[in-house]
Amino acid sequence: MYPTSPDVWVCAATFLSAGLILRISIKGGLPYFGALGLVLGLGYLIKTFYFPWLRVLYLHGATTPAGSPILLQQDSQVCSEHWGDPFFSAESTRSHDAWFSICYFRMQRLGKLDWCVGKFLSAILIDEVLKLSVKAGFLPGIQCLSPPRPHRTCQRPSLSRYPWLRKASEFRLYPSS
Amino acid sequence: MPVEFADSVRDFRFVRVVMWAATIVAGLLQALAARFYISGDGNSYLDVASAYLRGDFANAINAYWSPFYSWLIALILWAFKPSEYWETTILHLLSFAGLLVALLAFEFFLRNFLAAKQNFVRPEEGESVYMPLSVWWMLGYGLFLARPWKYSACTRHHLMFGFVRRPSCPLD
Repeated sequence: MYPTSPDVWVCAATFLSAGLILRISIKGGLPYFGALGLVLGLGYLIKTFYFPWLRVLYLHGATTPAGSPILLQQDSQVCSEHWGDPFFSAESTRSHDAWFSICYFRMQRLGKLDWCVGKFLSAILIDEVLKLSVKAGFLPGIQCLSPPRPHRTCQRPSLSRYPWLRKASEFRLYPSS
Repeated sequence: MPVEFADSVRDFRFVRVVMWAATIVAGLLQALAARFYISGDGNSYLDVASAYLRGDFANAINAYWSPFYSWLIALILWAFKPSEYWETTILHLLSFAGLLVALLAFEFFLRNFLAAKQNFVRPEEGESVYMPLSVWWMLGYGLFLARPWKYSACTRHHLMFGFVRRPSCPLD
């Protein structure tokens, strides 16, 4: 607990997502898929580590053979039979909720090794965050993913209330996350 | 001949109460012992949270620091309005709250893990020792608690304890 950083919250999100995947494998159920999407989206806001972690889950779901403990493919078929495409398309469009879309496409596409969908949805999620940032006052011209990358977006904030600690951390005298 | 041990709900409850008490006491003690310590990253998160509070979004929203932790800090600063003396203490208490949330999440994970194990894993014939649930829980709690305290600078990595043994750590 020494580092005053969000690491412990990352830990919570990881255990939650792992538990939800196991719960899906046992019981299935749409609410658990929704909860998993929310947790993964929240995890992305906690730490960017969740961006590659989403890909790990995609890979896992896509390569898990039927009959193994993680039955994501079978669950996705059951859920799609009960709910179908139109409901989810309309719902995700209406609410503009990228997390909901991720859950939906995760159920629908993972068994087909459709990597493009995963990339597309990740882009949607990031786009949603950037859109909120722009609404909040972030300059639209500054985007971290489009070249040329502005220097300021990759820098730590220059203001600091404890400058001596800033200097120490740069020389790695303190453990850094 | 399989060897079976007694397994009861009472054992599990006892283990759970003891581990929760240990987590709360040890977490609070460590948070208070290190209350004036702040890492470089924590310093920056504090700055970002302050920028949110004063409406300075140009500095608050950036491509380096993730937003969620700053939002939590900003919420706490807004609610309690601590003086500069108490700012670092507030950060450590927030980490302590995160530890409790992580413990709840870990319980959720382990409960489902054990249920999945029961559903999908068939006991092999000739298995000589049956491990009761309370022992599973004790091991799980032990692993959960051992990582952040032994390698307090590596809390991010203890979530991977079940998969990867980290070869080196700055505080080893």
